[in-house]
Amino acid sequence: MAAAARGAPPGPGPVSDAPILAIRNLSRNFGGLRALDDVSLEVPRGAVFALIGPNGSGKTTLFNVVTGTLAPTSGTILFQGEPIAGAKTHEIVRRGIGRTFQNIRLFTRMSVFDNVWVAVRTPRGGDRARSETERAEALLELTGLTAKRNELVENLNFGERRRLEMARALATEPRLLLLDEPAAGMGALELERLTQDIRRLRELGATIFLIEHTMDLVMGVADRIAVLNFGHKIAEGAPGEIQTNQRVIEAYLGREGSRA
Amino acid sequence: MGTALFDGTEQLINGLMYGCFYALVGGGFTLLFGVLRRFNLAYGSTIMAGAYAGLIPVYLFKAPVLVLFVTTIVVSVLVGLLVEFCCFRFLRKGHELAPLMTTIGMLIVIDETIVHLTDAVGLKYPAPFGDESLALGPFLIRPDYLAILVVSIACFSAIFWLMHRTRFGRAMRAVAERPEAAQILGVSVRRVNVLTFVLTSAMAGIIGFFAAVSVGSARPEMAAWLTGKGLVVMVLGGLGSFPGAILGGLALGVLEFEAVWFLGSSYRDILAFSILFLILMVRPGGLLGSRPA
Repeated sequence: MAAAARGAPPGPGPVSDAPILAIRNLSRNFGGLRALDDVSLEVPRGAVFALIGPNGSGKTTLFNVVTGTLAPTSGTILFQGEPIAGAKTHEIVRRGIGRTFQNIRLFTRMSVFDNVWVAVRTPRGGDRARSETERAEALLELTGLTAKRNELVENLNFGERRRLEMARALATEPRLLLLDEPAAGMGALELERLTQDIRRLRELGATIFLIEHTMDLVMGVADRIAVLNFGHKIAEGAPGEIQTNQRVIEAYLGREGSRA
Repeated sequence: MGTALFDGTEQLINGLMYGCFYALVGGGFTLLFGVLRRFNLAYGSTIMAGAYAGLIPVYLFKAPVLVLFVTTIVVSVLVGLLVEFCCFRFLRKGHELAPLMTTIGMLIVIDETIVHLTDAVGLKYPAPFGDESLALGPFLIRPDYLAILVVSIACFSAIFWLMHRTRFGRAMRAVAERPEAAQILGVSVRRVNVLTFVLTSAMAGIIGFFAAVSVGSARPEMAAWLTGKGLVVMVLGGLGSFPGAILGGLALGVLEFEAVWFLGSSYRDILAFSILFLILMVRPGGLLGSRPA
């Protein structure tokens, strides 16, 4: 089931019904705490898939397990049909999963250009000397940071830092891009730009897996939404279905709408 | 007064040249600490092991000094890889202080092995640069110190080039600052760690050669001496700052040489550590330390 609400995704690569990421019965314990409890979900190729849920519901833990930062306690993760659970982070990244962090983690002692350059990798048989610099420059262009290329990160404003982190993640040439609360702390103008950027990436053929609290963004870009609460998946569906789902409303507002 | 000024200047020149040697030692400690965020207290022993091993082809085959030099580097790299494997690789995340214990263990193992093999007797080292002092205008300078100056400038240049112009260098800087962010960009932290050991251990070989040449022999006391100086320079420069280590090494070299001339050589080590305490009072982060406490 290609669940993308807006029809088959355009862009390169074979359009296939197989999900790009399939998470099956995934659990992760921290001591006695079950941060993820038997979570299953499938991210369709070419879609924007949003993961929402209250704070502490296990969203970032899920990203950490997918990227190999944490090992799963049980369950499987298939990326493009191959198991990746428990593999090393850099190996998973080289297979085609990119990520940005909730709290921005740029290299503050490097220039804007070097931050992107670190992540650029030459494909086998590629022309290293020419393409690495050019690809880094192209990503700065795409994210509107060309004018700042020689600045140190500390001289960038918040929105520019978010965009640089995005450029850096794109430099790994991900087929699947994990964005962890990209809109956190953004003003209306930056948010509008981020919405445009995500739509553009989708049109370029990327699949995006998004954790977000800003509902304007989620409802504006997501094809499909899954909701976590206390490590359980409590709902999944199209944006319209999620907005009216009783369990989701309870998870966010508490029972009978009383704000706990 | 005139002679004091003259002597002071001559000591300044020699101190700067020998300071380059301290800068190399501190630079080795600093690069490792910068990337791994862990102390490697076996670094002094790595240096010493190379210096001793370099003598083997000389004693066995009367090999030329170049062979000695290359052997020193090769053996130091092998010992460095052993240190990485035994003291760092299998430690769990979050045990940042464990290497203090494992590397002290390695330091003792290497030192004791050398003491057993050599009966703790210093082994004479060749003097490839001669022992005739060179005249630099009115001042006399030691030829081996001049060689140290030239080689360390070459080393520093090579390291700066490596750090800023190569794939490995940028990965190294990335891992030094945020290993978890480097990983998510496809950098293998383990590979960078191992290559950092290779790089700093090759430096250890060069250091060992010049340490033994400047003293005239390979001696078991070398490890403690180099570890002390290296740690002082690393902290002086600002834990993890390579330019800081160069500055710290030069400062230590000059102050020591002046002190030895005006106070006598028995004050050398007391002074080295006193300088450390004083500078940390004024600049708690070290000379070029930017990292807030």
